[in-house]
Amino acid sequence: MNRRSFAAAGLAAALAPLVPSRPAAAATPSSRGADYFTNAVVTTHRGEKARFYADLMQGRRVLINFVFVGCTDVCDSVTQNLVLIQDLLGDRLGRDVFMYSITLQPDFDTPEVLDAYAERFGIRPGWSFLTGNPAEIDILRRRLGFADIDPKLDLDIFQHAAMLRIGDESLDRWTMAAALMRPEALIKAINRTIPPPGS
Amino acid sequence: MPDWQDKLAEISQRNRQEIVHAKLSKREMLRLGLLTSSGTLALKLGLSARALAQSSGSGAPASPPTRPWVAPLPIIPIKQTVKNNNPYEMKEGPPDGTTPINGATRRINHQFCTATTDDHGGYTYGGRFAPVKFYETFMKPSSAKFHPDYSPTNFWGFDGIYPGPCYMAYYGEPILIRFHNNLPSKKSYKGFGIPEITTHLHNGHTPSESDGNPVNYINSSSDPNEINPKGFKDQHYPNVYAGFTSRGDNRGDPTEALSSLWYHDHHLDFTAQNVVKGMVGPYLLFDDRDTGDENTGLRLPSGEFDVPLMFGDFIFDKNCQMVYDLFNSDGILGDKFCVNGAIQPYFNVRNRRYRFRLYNHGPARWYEYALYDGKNYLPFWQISNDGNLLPKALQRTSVRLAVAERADIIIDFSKINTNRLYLVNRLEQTDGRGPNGNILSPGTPLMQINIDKSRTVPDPSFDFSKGTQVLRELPDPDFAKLMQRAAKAKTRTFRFDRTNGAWAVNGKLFDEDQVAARIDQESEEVWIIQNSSGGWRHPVHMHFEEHRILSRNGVATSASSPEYARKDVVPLNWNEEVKIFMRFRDMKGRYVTHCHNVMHEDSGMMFRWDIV
Repeated sequence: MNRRSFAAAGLAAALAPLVPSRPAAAATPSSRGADYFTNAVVTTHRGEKARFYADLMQGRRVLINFVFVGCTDVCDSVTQNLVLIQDLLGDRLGRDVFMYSITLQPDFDTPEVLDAYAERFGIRPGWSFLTGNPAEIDILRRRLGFADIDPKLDLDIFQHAAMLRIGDESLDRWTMAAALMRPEALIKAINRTIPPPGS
Repeated sequence: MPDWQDKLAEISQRNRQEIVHAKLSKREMLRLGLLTSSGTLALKLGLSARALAQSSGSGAPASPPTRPWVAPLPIIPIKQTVKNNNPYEMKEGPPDGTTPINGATRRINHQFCTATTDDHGGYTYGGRFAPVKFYETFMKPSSAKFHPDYSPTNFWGFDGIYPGPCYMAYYGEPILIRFHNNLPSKKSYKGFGIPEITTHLHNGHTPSESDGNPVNYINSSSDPNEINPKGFKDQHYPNVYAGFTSRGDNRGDPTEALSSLWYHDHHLDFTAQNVVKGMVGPYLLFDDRDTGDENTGLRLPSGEFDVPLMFGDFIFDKNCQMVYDLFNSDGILGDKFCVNGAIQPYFNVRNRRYRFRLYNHGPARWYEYALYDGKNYLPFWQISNDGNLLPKALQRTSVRLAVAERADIIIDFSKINTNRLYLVNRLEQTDGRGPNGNILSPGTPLMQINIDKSRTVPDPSFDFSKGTQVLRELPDPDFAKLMQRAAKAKTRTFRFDRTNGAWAVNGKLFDEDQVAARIDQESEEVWIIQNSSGGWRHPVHMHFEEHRILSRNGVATSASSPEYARKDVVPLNWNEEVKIFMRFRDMKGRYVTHCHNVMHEDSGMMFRWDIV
């Protein structure tokens, strides 16, 4: 601060709080878009190729988690729990909400392996298991907030986050919930963030 | 996506050394603002790489530069009642004794105040703590300059200001506040923050339906529903000391008095976003000791010499808009330090004693405040912990605050032989894990203080250097007796840890319908709060009543410690087990305990408990 402003401010000046200095502008979040989510080409368990942002994310309401078929830990429980979410979503799935389960082991989880896995759990259209280039999948994992801040833990695939990313891409509204919550509680968390149409 | 951002994302949230190890080129580092033009590494205080990656659209990863000490400290305005304190002046009509809960899907009566209609259709307010003052506040989008070098930043504020207005409340004067949600429609609002609100009065002995429970958020007036067509919620604050039930009066136990409270949004899953969005403010409580008049009672500095200071750290993009990393649940740190909404302001003070009320509103940073004159750290008097007055003032040269903690300090500027000093933060913290243990010298400067030594000014306030006085007796002044009570109390254990990337308590994520503890009203309990991690710290906050910290890792709280006090936040450090003594008096209903690194709270580190 320079002396002049010191004098100008005056000691007794009851300084104004932060009052609005102009009418509030409409919120204009910088678009995350493909720069952030990337257009990595992924393959679904049905063998379809898709650009991650342009084909799977843009303008959509999504639920995203990470799993791998060879998981001996929590993945099957997570998938089973999400099957219950699939049922609770009813006909919103594939129309109003899309579910993506991205593999943590793209080298092993080929589309065929993922298809068999999806078949085993009775996955319906609107929910896709995704695989792709390992380096690009890893970037998605970090960008979507599934990395552990501790590099040692992050390298341990069995410590991976059993979380569900919930979001509305068009509103840039994002939150996360534990994928193993009771389905009745998890669907509430989903509906708080992406309410059913007309509610 | 340019290569450097991927590299940086890969070394997300590490310190300078690790940035060096990441082998970013000089050009990349310059571009990121990690390297200054002279070739030295700039200290990016915990700037999240993921936040950097996110801001790629703007091309400005670090906040735009600001000159320190050019913005005056904003003084938070005092909240006034509705016109003539007349509830009929309230927008949408007078309170009807009900309030919406459960995401505005139900409406219930207030527990401790009633509104009855008379023959003319008017309301009469009654109940055990009938409100005598009526306020209303409008939560709305707004914008303001956080620094003269910045263009206006959009935010959401109570009455459109950040921090929100300061309530001056008095024991024995119950009040009712109407919170109008005039935020944008949830259906169309884009960006971080959710335009639904539930305001928690932090530290308040508040009936459950007015506590700002995370599930009691309400819709915006732009999203009317049948239960809440106008988008507002009335909250009733009895402003009564805890313990009125057992005493059988309407006053309670004066040793349970609170002083420096604050209010903030508490929306389930969205607290962090809404707090960063600007929805915080101070709430001060006074009584016949802490009177708000420096000529009476404890004679603590009052009026313009009693200054709430709310600290928050932010990241701004190149357009001076807040950046929030929606994909970070570790804890977001800012690189710009604000006091009352101004980045690194100056404050011109008179040559006398002041009461500074230090509030750390987070969302994830911890502070260790000190007064630095360029050579030394100067002593001051700490008179409270978490806004509860200590038994007596402690002379200190620093005070540490985890997120949501508060401390009131008395500084006697007339005894400082310089006309310029700095309030600094001596804690180093580089990510959401909490401070890393390093103490900085001199520290990060937060505010410049200029003392006008040119004239003497009257100062009737109590001079702590000339004598001691009892500020506030503790409800349990005899620690040995308290330990005996604790030994007989029911014990519960709560482990704060991480399971599969989620923040959990006892391995469980927050579930609004699962009650972790059912507690009898008027009972006493000992809670054991555990942290088995050597990497994370958690500021654990209990709603409803303060507690006493009995011990940390088995070591009893010393009578000379600032923690020999009533607390509402336990800073839970590495590998710690903290035993606390709690009481659950006067009211029934649901409450929560949670980590006040609000990203952890939103990620599930919270549990519900009910008083039954």
